[in-house]
Amino acid sequence: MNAVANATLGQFEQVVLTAVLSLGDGAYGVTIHAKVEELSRPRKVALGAVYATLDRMEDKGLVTSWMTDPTPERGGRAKRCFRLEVSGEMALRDAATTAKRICDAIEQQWGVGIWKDSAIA
Amino acid sequence: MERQRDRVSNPAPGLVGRLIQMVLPPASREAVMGDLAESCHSPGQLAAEGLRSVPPLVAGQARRASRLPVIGLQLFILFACLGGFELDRAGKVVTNAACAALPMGLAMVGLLLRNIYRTDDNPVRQGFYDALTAALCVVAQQTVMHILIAAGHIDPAWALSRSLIVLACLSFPILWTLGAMENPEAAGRKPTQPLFSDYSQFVQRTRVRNRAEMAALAMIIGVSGYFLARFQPPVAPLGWSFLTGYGCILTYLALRGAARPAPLDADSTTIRALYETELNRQSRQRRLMWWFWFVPLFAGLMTNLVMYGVSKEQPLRIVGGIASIFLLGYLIERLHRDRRLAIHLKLNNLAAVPA
Repeated sequence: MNAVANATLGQFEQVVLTAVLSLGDGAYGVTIHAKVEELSRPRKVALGAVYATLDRMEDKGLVTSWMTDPTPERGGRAKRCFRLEVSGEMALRDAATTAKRICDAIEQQWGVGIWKDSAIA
Repeated sequence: MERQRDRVSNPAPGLVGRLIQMVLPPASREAVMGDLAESCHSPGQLAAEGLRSVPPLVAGQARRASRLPVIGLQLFILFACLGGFELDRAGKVVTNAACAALPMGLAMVGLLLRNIYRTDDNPVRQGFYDALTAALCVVAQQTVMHILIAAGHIDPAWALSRSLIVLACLSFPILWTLGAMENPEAAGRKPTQPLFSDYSQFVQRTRVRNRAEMAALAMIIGVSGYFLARFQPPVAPLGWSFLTGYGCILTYLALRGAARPAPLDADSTTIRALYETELNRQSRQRRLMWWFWFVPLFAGLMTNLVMYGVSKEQPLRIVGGIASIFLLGYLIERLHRDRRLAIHLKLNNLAAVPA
């Protein structure tokens, strides 16, 4: 379990985990994909890439998934919902801490105003 | 809200939807088709988004569904049975390894695709279709080769010889039994029904598996016997001794291979003890069998690569031979390790089964 929790996440995995975290109970394919595209702007992301990453993270024990009942707006098909596991939260926390340190170091060199000119602003 | 209405008024179109559904791996079909139906507003968008999703889903499912030791051993067997480790005759323009690598590569693609798109849960049937897929890939590759040879595009040496085609038939039963290996996750699963019923199902599974293994052994004995008698290779005495060994195993499997059924009046303690004994016995039996299945291959690698390399002073062949022997041993042990873990899990789970 520790090995999983200490696993380093790739950038795309960090984005997908963040999307699952921020969507809470409403995290499933469509919403996760939309959130990932929002976080990865201006890059376009394939739905399949999101699913492949979610599958990989489920195998690592970072997230769990379950199927819901079918709904008419989905052509009578079920949703596959996702939830962050404790190890996923720990891995995301580690990744966010590292990202924060990187941001702080950049700010020290280029000043806080650096973010105003970037795509994040 | 307007977007939501739009989605509802544009359900997944029939033909495009069915085509996309067909190419999506079954494991993710339901969720992804639902997501596409919900988020796409036109057949064109559904087709584009669906097709864009297929490659990562297929790659992900290939990683999830494929078991490295099983695929590795399947390819090893196929390469050996297609003559990849055979010594090259002087003057032959194409090496045996190259001749075997092409159909093996095609079979690898076929087996990976089968792992991705398989929906059948029956291990014995799965194994049979795995072997059939590999056989069809080899036949397709050889057909193409013969067409190219007839058209004068490639050298006739690219086609497999008649003796190799007979030898290749040997791979079918081994591929079948390899593919019929029960998934460790399924094998170690916690029983969801009373102990007696779960044990009865286990007995039934081992009986079917035992019959499949006996059929595979009988096929090997038949094909090998024909090969040894018809082509009389230099290693014929060794081959006949292996066949005698296979015959002994076949007899053992026929007499004691399947798990013993539980007595109808047995209490839960007796069934649990019997279950544990049989799980361990079946595991030991499989372990021994798997090493024995591959003894001829180990012998072939030793003589054709290592010993031949030593006699001809070819260090590359010696290193290749030793590496192949270690790789084969590693893959067999990985298979055993997976099974041991599954049995360990099953034994732990048995304690929680209602009597």
